[in-house]
Amino acid sequence: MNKNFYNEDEKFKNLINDLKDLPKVNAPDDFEFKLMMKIQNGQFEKMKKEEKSFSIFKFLAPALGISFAAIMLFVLFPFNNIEDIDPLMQEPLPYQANISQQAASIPNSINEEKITEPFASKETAKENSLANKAGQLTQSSVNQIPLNPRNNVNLDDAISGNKVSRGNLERGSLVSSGQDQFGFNEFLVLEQPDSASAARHKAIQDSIKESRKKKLNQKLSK
Amino acid sequence: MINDLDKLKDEDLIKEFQDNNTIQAYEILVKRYKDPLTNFVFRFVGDRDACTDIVQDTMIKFYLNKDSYKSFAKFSTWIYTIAGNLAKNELKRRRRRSFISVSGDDDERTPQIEDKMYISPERAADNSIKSDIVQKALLKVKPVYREVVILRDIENLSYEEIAEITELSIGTVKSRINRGRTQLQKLLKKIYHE
Repeated sequence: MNKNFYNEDEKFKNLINDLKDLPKVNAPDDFEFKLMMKIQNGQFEKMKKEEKSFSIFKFLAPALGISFAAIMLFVLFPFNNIEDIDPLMQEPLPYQANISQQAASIPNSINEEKITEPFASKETAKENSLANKAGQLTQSSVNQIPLNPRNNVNLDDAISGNKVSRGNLERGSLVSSGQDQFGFNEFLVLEQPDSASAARHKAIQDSIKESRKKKLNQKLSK
Repeated sequence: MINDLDKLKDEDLIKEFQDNNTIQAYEILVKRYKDPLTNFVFRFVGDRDACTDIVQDTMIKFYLNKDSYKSFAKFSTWIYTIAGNLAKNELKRRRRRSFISVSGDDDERTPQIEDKMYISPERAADNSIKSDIVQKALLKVKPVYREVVILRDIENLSYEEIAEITELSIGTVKSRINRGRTQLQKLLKKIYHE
């Protein structure tokens, strides 16, 4: 029972003999030559440097890189900015009427002239002058007057302050004095109608209507 | 003078190399240990080219770190320790490269020689084939057992020397040798008809 566990050479006799009989593997003939060449050429310097460069930072480098990248992502692209980007999550902002420079540059005298001058006496001359003025307008801002029914505005109501049953789009046209053609306005609430520019455009539209009427009458009379 | 150096013991030679930087002493030690170390590393790693490189590196380390050798230790155990560590590093590097699947505990694993290794007893008697089989089986033994079996049964080192090289107690060395032999015998059971 008191078997010596470690003196079992007899048990492994064959195995030990086989291991002892294994052919000896010797170093190549040029072993020493190559070794001395390496030493003389200082090729081991590389090995020495590699040994010295071993440090814990080598292992931590990937983790540090990933951490740095994550921090940079948080700094450059903070996640709370996503809310700002989403238009559906945003409170609608009051829209400030933006009258274009072209409409603002239309001289008031033209409008007043259009409003005040009677049409009766010098029809042709006035027609020409109106046509010229209309031409000027056409070149500048009249092209931008919204003529489609959707954008038409009852200017009388607008001037008098009757804002009865107007849709957002109509109000949009009124506020911007018909200068801009609104398609999708990003759900902005349009406020503060500009009565001065509305009056100006009323005059423009009235003059155009009058000139059309005249042309129609002329055609009918012919 | 070289003849005089040739007669010196290993420990005296390295002392000469340490004290006077005598390159001849170094060369004599290289000459003495290149073959045993090559044999040891080859049996441990199983690759001729790799083993030559490892032994070269061992000698370079010995050249560079000659002062780290302390005279109370045997030179042979010191140089075997360096070679063994480099060989283990090489094995680790290879395992990392060729790691495919997660394996279980090595102790529980029952390694087997592939069926294609089966050869008839007549052929098994042939020494060269037998050597190949033994070598292949040896490479399948767990490295901690393989190292001590090689040192004991192939390099013929004493238990004390092996304990010094592996920095283990003599009891652990004997235990590991026994386990390594058992594992190896299992692998070679076709030869021994067990």
